[in-house]
Amino acid sequence: MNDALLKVMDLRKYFEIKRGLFSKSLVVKAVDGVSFQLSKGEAVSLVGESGSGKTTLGKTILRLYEPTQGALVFKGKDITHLDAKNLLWYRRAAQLIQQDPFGSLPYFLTIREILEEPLKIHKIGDERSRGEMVYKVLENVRLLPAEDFLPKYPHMISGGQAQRVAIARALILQPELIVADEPVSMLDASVRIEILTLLRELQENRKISFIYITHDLSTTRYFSDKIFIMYGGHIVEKADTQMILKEPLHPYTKALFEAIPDLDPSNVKRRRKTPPGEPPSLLDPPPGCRFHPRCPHAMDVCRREEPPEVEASETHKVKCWLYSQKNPKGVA
Amino acid sequence: MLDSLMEVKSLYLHYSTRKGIVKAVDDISFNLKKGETVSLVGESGCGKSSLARALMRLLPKNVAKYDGSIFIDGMDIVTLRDDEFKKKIRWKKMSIVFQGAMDSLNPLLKVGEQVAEPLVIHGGIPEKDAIEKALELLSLVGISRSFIDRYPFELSGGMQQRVLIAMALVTNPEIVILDEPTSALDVITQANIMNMLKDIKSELKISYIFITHDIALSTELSDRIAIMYAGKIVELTSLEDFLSEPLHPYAKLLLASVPTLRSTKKLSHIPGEPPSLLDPPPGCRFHPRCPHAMDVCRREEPPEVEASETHKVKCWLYSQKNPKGVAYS
Repeated sequence: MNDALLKVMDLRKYFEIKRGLFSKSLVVKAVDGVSFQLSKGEAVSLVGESGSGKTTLGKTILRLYEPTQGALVFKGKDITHLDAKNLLWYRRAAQLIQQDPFGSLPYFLTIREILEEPLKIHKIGDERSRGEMVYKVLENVRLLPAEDFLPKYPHMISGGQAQRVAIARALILQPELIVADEPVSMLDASVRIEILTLLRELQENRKISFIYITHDLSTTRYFSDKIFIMYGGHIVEKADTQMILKEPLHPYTKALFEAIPDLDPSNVKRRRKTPPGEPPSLLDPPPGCRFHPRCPHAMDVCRREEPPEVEASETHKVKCWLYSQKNPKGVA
Repeated sequence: MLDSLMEVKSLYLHYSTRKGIVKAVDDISFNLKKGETVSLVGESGCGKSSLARALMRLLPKNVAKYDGSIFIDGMDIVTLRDDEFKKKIRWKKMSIVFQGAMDSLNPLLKVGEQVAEPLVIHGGIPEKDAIEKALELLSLVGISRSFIDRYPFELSGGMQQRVLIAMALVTNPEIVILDEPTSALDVITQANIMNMLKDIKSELKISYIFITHDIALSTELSDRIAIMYAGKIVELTSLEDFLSEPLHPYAKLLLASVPTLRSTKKLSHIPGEPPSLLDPPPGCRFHPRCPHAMDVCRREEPPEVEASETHKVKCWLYSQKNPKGVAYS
C-alpha cells in the first residue's frame, strides 16, 4: 500500500530487568514481532487483556520508547531510531490520550495554560492567535462556553470534562495520528459513550488516523474500522470490524467473545466456556503459539513452532496453525 | 414479606466533610430473599459502596447520620451495640468481598491462614479445625491444596479474588455482599469468577448483594436489579422486567448507553453528569438530565410507585398525582 501513513514492521520492544551484579538479567518481551499498516484517516482498535503488550505497543509507536528491533515508518520516513531533536516534527504529528485525565493534566496549570503549552513548545502562532486556537479547540471538544473553562484548574472540572481537555490538547497541534490508551475506562458509563462518539466524530471529520487501545471489545464496534487482537506480545488476529465481530477466527478471540456478557436475561442460567489457565508471562512465554497451553485445539505443531500469519481473506488475517496450508490436519 | 432474609427500611448514611454533608445513602429500602441475588447498579459516586458499608456497619469516622432499620431474622441489627453486631452479624450472617483483592489481603499471611482467620477470630474455632475448613472453601473456589502455603503476592489477580471470596464464605454467612468483585480483572478471568459465583450460589443457597457499575455484567448473577442514582434506589424489579421494560428515565437511558458485542443497536448517551452528593438538586435528583422533567420534578421528591407488585419506580411520571396523567410505556 502506498497510502500507508504508518508502517509497523516486525516491531519488538524488550525491557531488561537487572537483578543484581551476578545474576543474569531478565528480559520482558512486551512487544514481540508486530507488523501492520495504518492508512490515513483509519481507526483501529487494539484489543487485549492486561499484560498483552498493547500499551507498550502504543507507546513504542509514538516513540516514547525506542524499539528494540524492527522498524517504524511514518509518512515514508524511518523514525525507528531518530533522536529527540529529529523527532520534534513527529511529536507534533502524533499524539497520545491517556487513561487517567487527572493524572495526565498538570494540576498546577489552568486549562488555558495546558492548551497553550504545546503551541509554545512547537513555536506556533503569536499570543493572540494562540488564544484563538485555544478557544476554538475548546469549542471543538464542546467545552462550552469556552471562556468559562479557560481559567479553571483540572481539579475544578469533572472526569468527563478533564478527558475533553486532554483530547483538546492532543488536537490543538492538528495531529495526523492519535493513540488513545483506554481513554474512557475511568469514566462513568453515561459519559463514556459521549466521549467515544466525540472522538469518532473528530477522527472522521479531520481524517485523523486513530489507534484505540482497549480491553473492552464491546465498545470497538462503534468506534473503529478495524480490530487487532493482541495476546502475549503478538497480534493474533487482524480484520475489518464487522468481519471479526461476525466471525472471529483465532481460538483466543473466540474465547474473548464468549467471556463478554451482553444484556441478556438468560445469562443467569448459563455457564460461560472459558479457556483454562492465565495469560502467559512475557518474561518466559511458552514456545510455539503463545496461546497453546490454553487452546482447546492445540496440535503438536502449535507447541513447537510459532504460527504463521494466515490470510483468511484479503481483510482478515489470523496467526494460527489451524488456518495454515501446512496444518497437518487440514485447514479448519 | 415472610420470605425476606433481610429487609432494609429507610436506611441513611451521611458523611460530614469540610465541604458539607455528603448524602451517600439517602432513604434506601429494599429486601433480599433467601438464595436470591439483588444487584445494585449505579455509576461511581451514586452511593452503592457506601450502602455496602452501611449494611456491614463498616463506617468511617466522619459519619454524620447513620439511621434506618435493617431486619434480619426479625431483629433490627441497626439497634445492636457494636460488640453485639460484631459477634452476631458481621461475617456470621453477612460478609463482604471488596474490590481490589491485593489491597484487601494481608500480605504477611499465607493463603490458608488468611482464609482461616475469620473463623479463628469471629468463630472462636481452634486454628487446626479452621485450616481444615479453609481448605474445603479454597477447593470450592477452585484453588488447589498446593497453594495454601503461598503468600498473596505469589498469586495472580484472579486467584487473589478467589481467596477473598473463600474468606467471605468460610463463616457460613447467609448473605454475601460482592462489591465490584471483578472490576480489576481481565474479561476471561472475570467470566471464570462469575461462573464460580453461580456455582456457589446454587450449591450453598446463599444470597448475594452484587454491587457493580456494569449492567451487562449484572445480568450474569441478578434475580432482581436495583438501579441507584445519587444516593437513592430509583428502580427495583426483576432482571427480565428491567431488560424488557425499564421505567425510570435514567434506567432507560443507562440501558441505551450500554455497548453490546452481538447486536447493532444504536448507542446514546445521557447528557450532563451525575450530581454531587454534597448538594444534590431538589426534587428528583435526576431532573436536570431528564428528558421528561416536569415542574413537580423540580420541586418535590418523587414517590415510590408500584408499577406492578414486583416493579417499583421512584418517578413522578408513573404517579397517580402526575398532572399530565400516568405514563406507562
